[in-house]
Formats: sequence, C-alpha cells, structure tokens
Amino acid sequence: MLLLLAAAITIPLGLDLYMPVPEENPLTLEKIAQGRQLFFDRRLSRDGATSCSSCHDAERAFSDDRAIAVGVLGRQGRRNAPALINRGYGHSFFWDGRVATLEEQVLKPIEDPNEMDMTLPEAAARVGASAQEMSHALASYVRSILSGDSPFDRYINGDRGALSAEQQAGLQLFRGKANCSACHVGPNFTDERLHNTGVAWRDGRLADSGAGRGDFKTPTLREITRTAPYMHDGSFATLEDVVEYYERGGNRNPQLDADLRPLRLSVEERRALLAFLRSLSGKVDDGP
Amino acid sequence: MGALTSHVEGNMKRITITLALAALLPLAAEDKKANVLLQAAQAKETVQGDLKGAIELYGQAVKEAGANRALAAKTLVQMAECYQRMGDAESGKIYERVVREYADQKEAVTVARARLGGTDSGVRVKGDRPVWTGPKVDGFGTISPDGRFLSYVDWAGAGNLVLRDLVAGTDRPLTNKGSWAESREQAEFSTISRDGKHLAYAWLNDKDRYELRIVGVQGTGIPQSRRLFGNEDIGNISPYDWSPDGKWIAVSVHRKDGTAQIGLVAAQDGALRVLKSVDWRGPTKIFFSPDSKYIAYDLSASDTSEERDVFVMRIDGSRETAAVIHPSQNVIMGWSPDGAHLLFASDRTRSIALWKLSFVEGKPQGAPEMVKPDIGSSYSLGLSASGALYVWKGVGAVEIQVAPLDLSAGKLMAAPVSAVQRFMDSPQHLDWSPDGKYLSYVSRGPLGGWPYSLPIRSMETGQVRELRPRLRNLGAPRWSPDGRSFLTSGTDLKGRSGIYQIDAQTGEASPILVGPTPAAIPQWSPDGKRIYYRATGRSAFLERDLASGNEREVIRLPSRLGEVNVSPDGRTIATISEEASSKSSTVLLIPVAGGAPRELLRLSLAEGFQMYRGMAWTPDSRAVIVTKSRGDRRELWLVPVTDGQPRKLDIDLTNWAGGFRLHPDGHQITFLAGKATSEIWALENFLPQPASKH
Repeated sequence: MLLLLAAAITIPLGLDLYMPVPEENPLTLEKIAQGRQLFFDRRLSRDGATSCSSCHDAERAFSDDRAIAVGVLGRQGRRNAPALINRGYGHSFFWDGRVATLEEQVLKPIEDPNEMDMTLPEAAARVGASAQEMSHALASYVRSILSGDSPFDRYINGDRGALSAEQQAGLQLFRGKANCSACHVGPNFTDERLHNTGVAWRDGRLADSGAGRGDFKTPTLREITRTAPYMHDGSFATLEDVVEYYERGGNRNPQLDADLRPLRLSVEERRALLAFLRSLSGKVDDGP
Repeated sequence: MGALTSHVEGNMKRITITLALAALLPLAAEDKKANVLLQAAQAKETVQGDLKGAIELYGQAVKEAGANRALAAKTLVQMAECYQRMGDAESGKIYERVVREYADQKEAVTVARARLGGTDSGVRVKGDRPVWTGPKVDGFGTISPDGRFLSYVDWAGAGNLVLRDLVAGTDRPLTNKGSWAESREQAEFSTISRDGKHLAYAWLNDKDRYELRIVGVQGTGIPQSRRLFGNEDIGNISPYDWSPDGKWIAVSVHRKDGTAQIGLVAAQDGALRVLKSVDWRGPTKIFFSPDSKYIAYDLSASDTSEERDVFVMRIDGSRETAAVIHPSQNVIMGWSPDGAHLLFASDRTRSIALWKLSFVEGKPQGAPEMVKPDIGSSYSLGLSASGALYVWKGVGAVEIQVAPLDLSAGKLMAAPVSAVQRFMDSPQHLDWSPDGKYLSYVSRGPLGGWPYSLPIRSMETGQVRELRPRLRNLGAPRWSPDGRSFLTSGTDLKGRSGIYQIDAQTGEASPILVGPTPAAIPQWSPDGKRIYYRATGRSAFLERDLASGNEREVIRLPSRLGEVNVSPDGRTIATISEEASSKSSTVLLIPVAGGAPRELLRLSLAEGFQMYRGMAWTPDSRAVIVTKSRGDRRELWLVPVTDGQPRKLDIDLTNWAGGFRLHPDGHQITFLAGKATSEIWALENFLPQPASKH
C-alpha cells in the first residue's frame, strides 16, 4: 500500500499514486460514502428493482456473470457489463470509449431505457440529490474501487517468490511471444485504446460496430479470474477460450488490429500464460 | 525523449529537441492552398536543402495566406531564415517587415526582433558561454549548485562516472569498472545533491540490469558506492534531480512491459514511490521546485506526435497541473532559483528558444515569455544557485560525401564531393541500393531528433524522395537485394524494439521480429530469403528464415562480436571480435553454413578495428575493407580473405565521421564527413535581476 490520495482512498501496491481527479469534483469521504449508497440504491431504476450493483457485482470485481447485462423489467442491454475496478485511471469509458469522464459516464446507465430507464430529474427526485450531486458522488465512489496488491504486483516490486516459475514464464510470454502487452500494458493492464480484435466479426460482417470499425476499448486484466464471461459481448465463458481465440490470431476481418496474428503457443506455453493471468487477482477495495 | 536518440552500441546518446513542422500551423480550409505551399517550401528547405526554391514557395505561401496574418507572419519569418542562411541581407528587410506590419503577431515579432539583434522585448542575448568543450563532453549528468562541478559519463573511459571540475579543468573518476572488453557495465544519468556531497546515478550492472546507486563525492580517489534501488522488472532507470531537502530522487523508470513511470526514490531507504505511468517515451527530464513540493516534467502529447507539454505535480501525487500546453515541442529546463518561474525550451517560434512561466502556489500564472531566443538543440543539466542554466548543446554538422575509388590502386580517384547539398541536419546510416543508382540515409529532421525519415537520393538526377516509416527509431536500414524494401532495427510507436521491413515505395514498416530481445544491425542474405543479426546481450549471430520464421544460431563465441557483414556470395560473415583475455581485436570470417571461424587479422586493443560501420566486402567476396583505429587516427585496410597481404589504402580519413559504404560495383565509396559534437554551455542573465536593497 502507498499513500492516501487526498486523504480519501488508499492506493494499493501496483497502482499510480496520482489519480486524475477533476478540480470541480475533489475526492472526499462524504462523496464516496454518498456514491456507495447511490450505487446500491434501487430507487434509481424505473422498476425499483435494479441498481448499479445489479450488473456490477462487488463479489465479481464489480462485473457481471451474465454475457449481456440485464436491466429493468428484464430488458437486455447490448454488451457485457465491464469490471469497474481502477476506472479512476481511465481516459475513456464504455466499451466503445464514447464518454470522456467518469462524471458523465455514471449517469448514462440511469437514463438508458435498457438499464435503469429513468430521467435524471426523476432519479434526482427519488434520492433527494441533484443530477450533479449524483454524478459527483457516483464518480467519486467508482474512483475508490481499486484493485492491486496482487502476486504480480508483489513480484515486480521485488518479491521474487510471489510468482511461481510457471507464472514467471507466463509473464515472459505475456510481454513477448504472446504479445498481450501490445494492448494490455501499464499498471492497469490496458492502453485505454480501441482495437478491433475480430470478436465482433461474425459471418462476414460486424455484429457490433463498437466505436465504428468493430473496435472496442481494451479492458483491464486485473481480477480477471473473477470477471467471466469475457469480451464486450461476453462470448467467451472461460480464460482458456480467450487464450485459444488469440492463439489463432482472432477473427480475420478488414479492420483487424495489426498486432493480432497466430501465436503458435505450445500447450505448456498456454498453460503458463493462463497461470500468469491468474496472478493478476489481488485485493479489491471500495472506499477508505 | 522526443529528444533522445537511441543508445547506439554503447556510445553516447545525443539529445535534442525537435521541430514538429506539421504542427506549427493548424490547417483551416480557407488556408489550404497556403499551407500546401508552406509544407512544400519546408520540404524544399529541409529535405532537399534547396533554399532558393524554398524562398520562392514561401513567397507564394505568403500571398495565398491572405487575411490569415498569423500564417503570413510565420511564413515570412521562415523565408527570412532561408535568406539568412544564404548570407543574403534580404533577411533583415523581411524581419523588419514582420516587426512593422505584423505587430499583432507576438511570436513572429519576437523572433524577428531577436534575429535583428534587438533586445527591446526584454530578451537578453548576452551571457552565454561554453564552459566545457572537447571529445569527452556528454549530457548524462547535472551541474552542482555552485556551478563548479559537472557529473558525466566517460565513454572513452569505458562508461565510468566522472566528476568534472569546470574551474580547474580536472576530472575525478567516481567508478572504476575496467575496460569495455572486461566489463559491459556503465554509468548513465546522474544527479548531484543540493549540498553537493552526494551523487545518485544509474548503473547498468554486469547482469545487464539497471540499478540506482549513490556515492559520496567528498574526499579523493574512487569512493565506495551503495545500491539504493533496483529490481528485475526495471528496464531502465534515470535519476534526473535530487530534491532540495535531500529526501527524494526524481526518477524516470522504464518497465519491461514498455511503460514509463515518473517516480521518487527515497534517499534514505530506496523505496520507490510511483507517481504516474506514462507513454513509453517518458519525460526528458524532471526537476524539483526549490521548495521540494513539486516536480516539473514534460510528456509527449500523444503517441503519434512529437509535441511535448510541460506538467507540474505535487510530490504526494495529489495534484497534477498542466503548465504548458501548446502545439509545439516544449521541454522542461528547470526552475528559477527562487521558484517563481518554470523554465522550458520551446520550438513554437520555429527555432528553439528558452521561455519562462510564472508559477505561484503550485499554479502557472499568465502567459509564458521568451527569455532567450535561438538556444539551439539544448538539453538542460540544471541551474546553479546563481541562476545560470547549464545545457548540453549539439554543435557542428556532418554531410554525405561520395568519391570514386580504385581498390587496386588503393586510393580515391578524385576529391570527395557532397552528395546532398546544404543538408540541414546530420545524416546517418548510409546505404547504396543494390543497383547502385540510389543512396539512402537516415535523417533526424531539420533540427535534429525525431521524427526520423529515410530519404533516398537518385545519383542520376539528384532528386530526393523521402520515406517516413511509422517508427520512432531507425537503426541502419539496408536495401533488400531486390531493391524493394529495407531491413532495419528500430522501435515502433508502442516502444517495441525489433527488426522491421520498410517498403521502399510506401515507407510502410512491418515487424519481422519484435520481442523482449532487441535485435542489433540486421543484414540480408544475398537471395533476400533470410536475415542475419546479433541478438543484444548474446555474443551470437542468428539466421532467420523469413518464410518460416525458423531461426538457427550461426555461431556463438565467448568474445564480444561486432556487426554482421554477409559476403556478396552469401557464404561468409565477416565481423570484428574483441577478446578481453588477450586484449585483442580480430577480423573473423564465419562460415554461414557452420564450422569454425577463421581469424583473418589480429591487433592489440590499443590499435583495434572499428566494430561498427567500419567494414565492407569487395564485390567479388575476395577481400574485406576494415577500419583500423588508434586513438583518433584511423586507416582503411584491404584484407584479402584467401591469399595476399593486407595493405593500407591511401585514403585520408581525417575528416571522416563514422562509417562508410562501398558501392555495389566497388568503384565508389560514400561516407560521412565533418564533425558533429557537443559542448556544455552556461546560459546566464535571462532571469529578472533581484531588486537591489538600499
């Protein structure tokens, strides 16, 4: 663990001490607490049965075990609900990166007909807070959801026993032959950029155009053992499926990212890579 | 950094800041024609070196700029600079016109006034002085607070850390690691504590890992150092500044996944506090504010841009402030001793100038002001307590020359001539096309540094065509045997080192081999189906089949190996080998098909062979030309591989800078001539004078 950020949250081992926080919404304990309340508040949904936590389960690193998120009245969303860990370090939000700030992002699901289906004035009236207060509080709470202090973090900070020999071999593959770090890079294992990995390419067409070219934002790999199913559409049930997909170079399509290519990994190498990925689970905290 | 070239085979890095031409003038639809003309003029000026042609195009661009006064003023300044370089007095008239007619264009007027020699804008141009010149000068260190001592790396002295007394002109080694042949260890960036008693430095150890070390500099002799920080996940660490309160050392760390991080290492216990993870290029430098509360650094604006911006962060990581955001390259230079101003270099007025920005309570105040124009490619080594800024400056230039050669006579048949006239920047890495009709070279851009380009000059017409591969760094591109592509080591936009193939028509770069092991100086087989390279960290040559990706080790030796030189018949690799045990330098012939290497010629290390870019095969594969060196003196020798005695070629290498390439027909030779070196300068009198007390 490192130092307190603005005396409101504790930064775990492996993450940057500096987290970008807008000047108009400084982190405070009060806002984080208010945001936590709102996060679990079902009054923010039309049917009073759905809260943010319905699709962002704290037990699953704030992700969803359903392939596609389900909102009010059983309505299906479009994509898998992503894990909300370490989003305070994010540069863009949603799978297609269409929103630039957490303050803006946290209100979108409330207004989405397939998620919570409320207008902001309606939601504000129900919880007794303005839309801006909700935005600031929810964003503050999401900023407090942090994952770090994993075996990987301990390993790269000098504890050579924190990873097994197989996991260390997997780390070498991750950064080398398997080329995972082309996109999954940095403390949060994401370049925060959009890539076409071919997952949306089905039957000769894009089933989901993502940000426009079948491209989706690189998700974090932290806590990956707890965030199945995987990809923007939850189409892979297991980590083995994911590695198998990248092993064959993804679904070829005209916009496929140049970094995707068959990996030619041996059985042992795949096993090592999976072992390494499992070392990325640490401790998830929300708030002080 | 947008400023740092790669570390080339253990030699010194050169640091510059670059000009992002395309960024100077934002494109607007109505100015499209003017901008097209402007860019054509810039290309004429910087790529082709055709100043008269450039002036004509600049003139047309000014006419087309119409009501866009900013564009017109900047274009006029660029046109005047062309005249100035030609020694034409017309430059003065144009600068005067800018001052007279474009008073509302502050930046252009500031430059014009500075060029006219005026100081009425408050710009001070006096007080700059070189404080250290000579072959040992490098820029890896910092200045001591009293301005007397400078730390540096003695590359000729095998990478040892040295403290130079700028007043006495004496050097004191602080490490003693033996010769290059005995040890590949080396010092890199270093910083002196504010009390002048300690020095923190990066050290590449015998396990090829970087660590941060501290050494006391009081007393005499080689002091005992201690390891402060290091771990196996660190690819590189650069200590840039020591906090005034002595508690922290500001570092840039490069992780092995390519991430750069800005951090602080506690001077007491070596604990690393990671403040911010950034683009792989990281900051060029980090400086503490005089009150130790903030650090200032510059970062790339994006991964496809050469622009840099300057930021300030509280050392507890609680707040970052964007101090200088401008579509140009802005590089941190330090703080004024009173903490009232942040200093940065910027190319926003096309030439590189020193600027200051007021800073109060952790926040910038007002607009930046130019305090010193035309400081050139400069890299800050810090400020002394008296407010003098010490910089490492690139000086001089080299050019490409070509001469007819008669190998049987062993001499040049005519005096060398420049292949590229009036080239603005030092070119590097020459190569002939397989048909000998084209000469390629690597250019670092108009003022040095990135972006790299790969110009190709037609030897028949003199026309230059420029490729711009999307690579951050270009090694030594070699034409493919079919002339359709180049092979080079390089670094891509994500910071991944490897071997790349560049299309000779489009400039598109494709990876051949990218991975954690950077590959050095790849070469083609004569049929173009395989490549050969030396993997860094291993004294072995590898062969890679391009179709299958299969690799085999051609040879592995205990000695230190130079670059691969494949014979024209493809049967033999020639290289230079250095042995620490026998203290000798040897020309080796290695059978490509396998088998024991053959020693062709051996010298003592005292007069060794140039390991890189100093060797070529004759077209008939019957001899190699090698560069023999002893101190500053170099000679070319022709060494037959079968029978015959080595003989010295009657060629004067006095003005040569670096390596050479032999024309495919063996009747011409091209090389770099001139001298590009660096100096340490003190820049003074640019800060407001303290108010006198009465």
